[in-house]
Amino acid sequence: MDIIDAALSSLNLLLTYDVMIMLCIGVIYGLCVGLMPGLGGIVAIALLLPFTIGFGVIPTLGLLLGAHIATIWGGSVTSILFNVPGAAKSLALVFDGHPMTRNGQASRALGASAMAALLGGIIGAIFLALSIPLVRPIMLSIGPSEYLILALWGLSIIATFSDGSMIKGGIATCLGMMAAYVGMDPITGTPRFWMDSIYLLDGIYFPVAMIGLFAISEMLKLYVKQTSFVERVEGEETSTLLSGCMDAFKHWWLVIRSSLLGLWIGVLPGIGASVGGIAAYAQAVQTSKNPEKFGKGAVEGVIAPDATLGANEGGGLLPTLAFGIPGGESMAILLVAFLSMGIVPGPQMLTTDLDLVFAMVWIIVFANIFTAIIGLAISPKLSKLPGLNPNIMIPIVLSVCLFGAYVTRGYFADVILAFLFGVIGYYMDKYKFSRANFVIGMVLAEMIERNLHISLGLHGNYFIFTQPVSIFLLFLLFLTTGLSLKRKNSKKEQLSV
Amino acid sequence: MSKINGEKFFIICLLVLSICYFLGSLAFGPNARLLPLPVSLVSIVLCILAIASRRESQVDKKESIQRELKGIFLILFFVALIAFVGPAVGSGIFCMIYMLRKQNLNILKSLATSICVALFIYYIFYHFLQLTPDSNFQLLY
Repeated sequence: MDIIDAALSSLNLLLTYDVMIMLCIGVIYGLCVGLMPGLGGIVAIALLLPFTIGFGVIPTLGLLLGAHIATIWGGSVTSILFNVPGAAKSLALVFDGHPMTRNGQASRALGASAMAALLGGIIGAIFLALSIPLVRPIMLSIGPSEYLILALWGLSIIATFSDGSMIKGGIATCLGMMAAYVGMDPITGTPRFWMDSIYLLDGIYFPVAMIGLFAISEMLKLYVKQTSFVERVEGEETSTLLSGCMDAFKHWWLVIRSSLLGLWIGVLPGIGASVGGIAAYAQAVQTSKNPEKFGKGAVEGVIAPDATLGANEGGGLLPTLAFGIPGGESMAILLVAFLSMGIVPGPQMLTTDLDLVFAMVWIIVFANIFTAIIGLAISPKLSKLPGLNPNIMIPIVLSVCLFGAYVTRGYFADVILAFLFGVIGYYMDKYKFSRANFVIGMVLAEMIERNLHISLGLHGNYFIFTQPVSIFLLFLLFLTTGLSLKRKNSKKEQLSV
Repeated sequence: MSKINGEKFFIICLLVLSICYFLGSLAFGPNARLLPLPVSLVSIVLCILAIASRRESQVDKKESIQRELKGIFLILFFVALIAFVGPAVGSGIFCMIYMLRKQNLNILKSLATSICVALFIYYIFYHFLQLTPDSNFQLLY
């Protein structure tokens, strides 16, 4: 089927009353779930699955994908306002989104976030449509050694967050990696550091660790300092939503770059959007003329990850539909839903059933538009939340966080783990050990270990030097990191002069 | 002694943790310790460098330490409440006690606020999201 015909006929399928209603319901539901710490897109879609029976394929897809897209932006909101990543994907939004809120620019950050996600979704969808014929060979040329180098590239941004002390930044990263290696080794099946606890055999559950590390530690900090949740550096909220939206257009080149990165990270199975967000942030830092502003409230640090997340979902559909390989965790749940609707993944999805693929791409575009509209409408109210009295905020946020930690899997041990990570996170923040580095280490450790083992098994000890794509990526890694460090040093020298 | 070098103490704790991790890694097979061993070794080296560095570390006042400990015990109390009476009721009780102490509200206002919080959480998680974790409640073991 011709690509343009498929795109137009699928748009025709979508522009119906029932699809739009289902899409709206999905978006509103997704925003509600996304605003709850710890409950990501997986929970949102899993809970919707029983309600999908009895509806047509396209309205059901509208409901599921609408909820999925809106959940991602909901997670960005909690990262920006409360320093609590709603899900692993939104982690990179914490780095600059929350400092913006602290600087009295919450509205600007929310506006930039919503607009970047919208533009990312649209750009991602357009490029996805254009690149469908090219996708298959590229997907097949990327192997474990290339994934390993991509993960190392993500790790290279720790220098950005090691403000003041690289040693402390390094310790935080090592601790994050050490935390990730708790539990059953995925390669050899060896139980590691499990302290005879069956609970720890599963490893440390990432959303629970994040709730503790960011949300509970912030509440502890608030209790100790007894100031409002956001210590505004420059007084009250000074920014507007419009300025944030305009920022996304001003940094159009960054939006396009990040969207393409998100799209391709989505296309490559097994990387996951959490790594995508960090990689987008890394490229924003490394290509910025003012990298020293990152981590202190740079709007580019919000735009890049959100554009990537917006585009990532469209890309994630490709391996899910074409090969039955989910691009990420949420895509795995979506795959179950697709199968229950009679959508069978396979290469035919990119040939005879292309209209269905395009219908999903269009749904993602519309879901992004609805999310941006609803998100921008509620943002003025949301931006006032961090300024609330701490004595009201502490019990409510603690209740929601500990409840969220508990309810996701129903393990009381998750509550204890969230508490422990809360205490660790508090002292890390107090003594300037970057929590961001800890989380980056934790996210990338598993990917580094898995791909290192596979690469060694497949290509031997010198695998990097035998793979041309790996050598090229390694060269890029050294080049971008070297340039970034050089730029950072020259800025330091300028400042000291 | 009214001041404690909290930062050094924290780094020493991390050093001990890293050493335990390193020693624990030695017990695994070569594949299972391929990354945990070098990562913990790097962590040990960095911790030693941080302790040995001449940079002045942060010294805490005894009062702030007491306040931190109070905060930690407060959250621990909430965790215990969740364990004994369940998350929804525990949230209500915690909110009420916290508001009575900190907000200086009267009992009725605190009770009303805490019931609202508990009902809100209960409604969102149990009814709207239909998450019923009590059905597979599991303690740490």
